[in-house]
Amino acid sequence: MTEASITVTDARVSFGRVQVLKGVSLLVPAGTCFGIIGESGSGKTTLIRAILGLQRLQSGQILLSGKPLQPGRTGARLRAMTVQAILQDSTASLSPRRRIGQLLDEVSEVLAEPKDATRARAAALFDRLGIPAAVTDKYAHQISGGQARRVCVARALLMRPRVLIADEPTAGLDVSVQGDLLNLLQEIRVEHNLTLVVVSHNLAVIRQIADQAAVMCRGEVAEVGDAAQVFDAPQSDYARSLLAAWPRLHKPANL
Amino acid sequence: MGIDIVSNRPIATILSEALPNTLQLASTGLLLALVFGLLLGSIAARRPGTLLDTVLGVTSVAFITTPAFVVAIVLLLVFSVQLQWFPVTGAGEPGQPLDRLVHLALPATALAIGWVGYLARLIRASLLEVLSEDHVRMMRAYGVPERRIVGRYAMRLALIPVVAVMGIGVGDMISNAVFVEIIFARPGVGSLIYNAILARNFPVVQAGILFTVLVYVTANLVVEILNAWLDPRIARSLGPGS
Amino acid sequence: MRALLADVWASPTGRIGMVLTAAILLFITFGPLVTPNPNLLAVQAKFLPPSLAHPMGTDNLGRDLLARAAQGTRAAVLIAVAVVALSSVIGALLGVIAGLLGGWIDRAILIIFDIISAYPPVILAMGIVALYGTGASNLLLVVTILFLPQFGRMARAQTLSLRNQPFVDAERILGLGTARLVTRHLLPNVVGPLIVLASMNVPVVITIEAGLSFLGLGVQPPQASLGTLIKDGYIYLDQSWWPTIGAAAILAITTLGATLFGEALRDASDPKRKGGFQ
Ligand SMILES: Nc1ncnc2c1ncn2[C@@H]1O[C@H](COP(=O)(O)OP(=O)(O)OP(=O)(O)O)[C@@H](O)[C@H]1O
Ligand SMILES: [Mg+2]
Repeated sequence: MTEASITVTDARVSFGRVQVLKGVSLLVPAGTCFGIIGESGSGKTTLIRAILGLQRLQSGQILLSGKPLQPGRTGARLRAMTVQAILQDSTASLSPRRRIGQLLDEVSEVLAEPKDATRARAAALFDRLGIPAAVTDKYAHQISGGQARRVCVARALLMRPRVLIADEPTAGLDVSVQGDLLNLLQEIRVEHNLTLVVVSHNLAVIRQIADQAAVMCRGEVAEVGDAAQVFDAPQSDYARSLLAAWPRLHKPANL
Repeated sequence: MGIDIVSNRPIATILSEALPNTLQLASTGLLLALVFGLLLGSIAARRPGTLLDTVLGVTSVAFITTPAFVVAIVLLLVFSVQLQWFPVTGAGEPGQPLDRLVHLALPATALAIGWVGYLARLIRASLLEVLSEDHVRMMRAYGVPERRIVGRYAMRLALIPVVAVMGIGVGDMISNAVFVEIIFARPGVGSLIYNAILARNFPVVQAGILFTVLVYVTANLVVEILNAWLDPRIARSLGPGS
Repeated sequence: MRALLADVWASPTGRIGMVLTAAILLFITFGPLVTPNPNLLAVQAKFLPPSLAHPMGTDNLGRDLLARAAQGTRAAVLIAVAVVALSSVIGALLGVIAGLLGGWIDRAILIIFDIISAYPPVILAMGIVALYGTGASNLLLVVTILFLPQFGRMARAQTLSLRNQPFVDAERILGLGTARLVTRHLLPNVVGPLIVLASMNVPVVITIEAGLSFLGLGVQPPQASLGTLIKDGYIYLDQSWWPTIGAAAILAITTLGATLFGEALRDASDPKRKGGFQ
């Protein structure tokens, strides 16, 4: 439980003159669910992209299971088999000119697994996630936003990663589907001993699902700790004011 | 640039003798293209969707797609050989403006035709866009006469894209001047380079091309500066608050 | 595809373009089969005006001009299609790589494009031909180079707009390599607008080829191309104007038809007008 899955040390990223990550340090323990909250533009997505190797760091270091990210082709493949992610905009993260089935086949390519085996695992996952099998013959713009989100979850899980990062997994879904998806992610996490990182604006989501939570504010980590502590006894002024805007959540019993 | 081994004269001198002829030809061609392009384009834009508009549209495309050297040959055949209205060859006597102008008429027309078509279409499109904007509708609602809207206001905005393509225009004029100069046997940079290629006189070819590129790059620079200067000023003078 | 052609047919100018293009295609496909040998000399029958035996007359060597026009137009169209195909493929590859990789590779490719377009096109072509010699294959190469920047810049712009699309990130996250990312996910999105640009450039290339061949810097005799036909006729303009005008008219019809067709195709496939892909 105490083994670190992701270690971020003093990560800095700038776009032009604007510093978007101003020395972020985080430690995500293996096998837990880690929540990241923070206002829009606070740098959550940028941090995730850095962890995924999509965003070069100005300075600082990121370790996956204690090892630094390797550059090059083999490094990329290795990382892909360790970390997978679901991006904020699911429909747009499915390549528009390829059928969903073709996108799933790419998993077998990267894993060097027979296509049939991947397809069989995909079928099982689709079943579990409640995605109609007919979706495989469609293009991204032909399926609903909720289906696209679940297809992205399925594609990520097909890679059998050890860490799954989800950027706003519940945004744009109706409340009952939100709950189903979170429960499912939680179940799968326990089953496969996954490390789950969930980014959300929705404090209720993080509170429901996370063991530990970090609060980001303007490119810095304002507070990090056990989720219960962050929500019920926040130490930093920023976290307090953020949570004060959610009275029902902060003091559920009193309302 | 050295001495030309064929004529035993400095290459720089040869080039500077040829250049004025080409510049006169190209600038007259550009001027003709601007005048007639504007005319046809604004006529078409005032009557969008009519038969006249369609005819002007297809004519413009035909102008664009017919190569300058074909136009030059046809003009030469009809007006010089058959009708004998214009001289067949040469650039005219130096120092006799009228004679030079007569010699310039057909070659410049041949150069201009393609860009008449192109500019007519460009002007039509940008005029139509400007005329459909909200503030133009408002001017109409206030009873400003249509002629004044088009002439005073819309035309100024519609000219911005025309200035923007002038750089390409200069390049096209220089390119096509090669054909036109050869067909009308006019002295100029184009025919100079061409004849040097045929004679395998490479120093002259090299110098000629270098010279042409310099002219072209300079023209493009001027156009770019003009464009940068024109665009924000016009945009600001017509923006909110004025 | 059918819907696209139906849209082209629906516009009046598109219809003219389609008819002219179809006529030219028929002419270059079947013309050489039904006309006499285009290189058959008959010096006693030179400069004949059009007649039933020679619908476009004969040239200075008594060769049948309709046959030569069919052969010449075929050569012109084939060269133009080859140039556009080569130029668009190479240009697209360079453009996608520049846009995707950025940095010094991007800058280097852009500089190459800038250098090519720093010359007025015909002048550059004349320079290269002067250095490396005339002939159909050199002509092909020269004009291909001439058109690289256009295709390359367009592909680069498209790639830049695609590069930040989430699906590119998603494929990277999955562990897909650059080569597969380019061929499978980027190029297919660039191809549509590229085909339109390519089809619009076919008549432009025909014009340039004809011009260079007219100058004697392109296709060489006895092979016919529209440019060499006009040139051959032009030399004997004082004896007969049929050869020149006939070839010039076919050249004008070909480029006009192809342009009208290409523009209608562009409008019909404009996503702003149609919404969505395809
Ligand atoms: N490629 C980029 N170029 C320039 N600025 C960027 C880029 N990506 C992000 N930014 C800026 O970095 C800041 C942080 O963006 P980021 O996407 O990480 O925020 P976020 O916390 O994920 O916000 P949200 O909750 O809205 O998704 C924002 O101000 C954004 O404008
Ligand atoms: Mg975000």
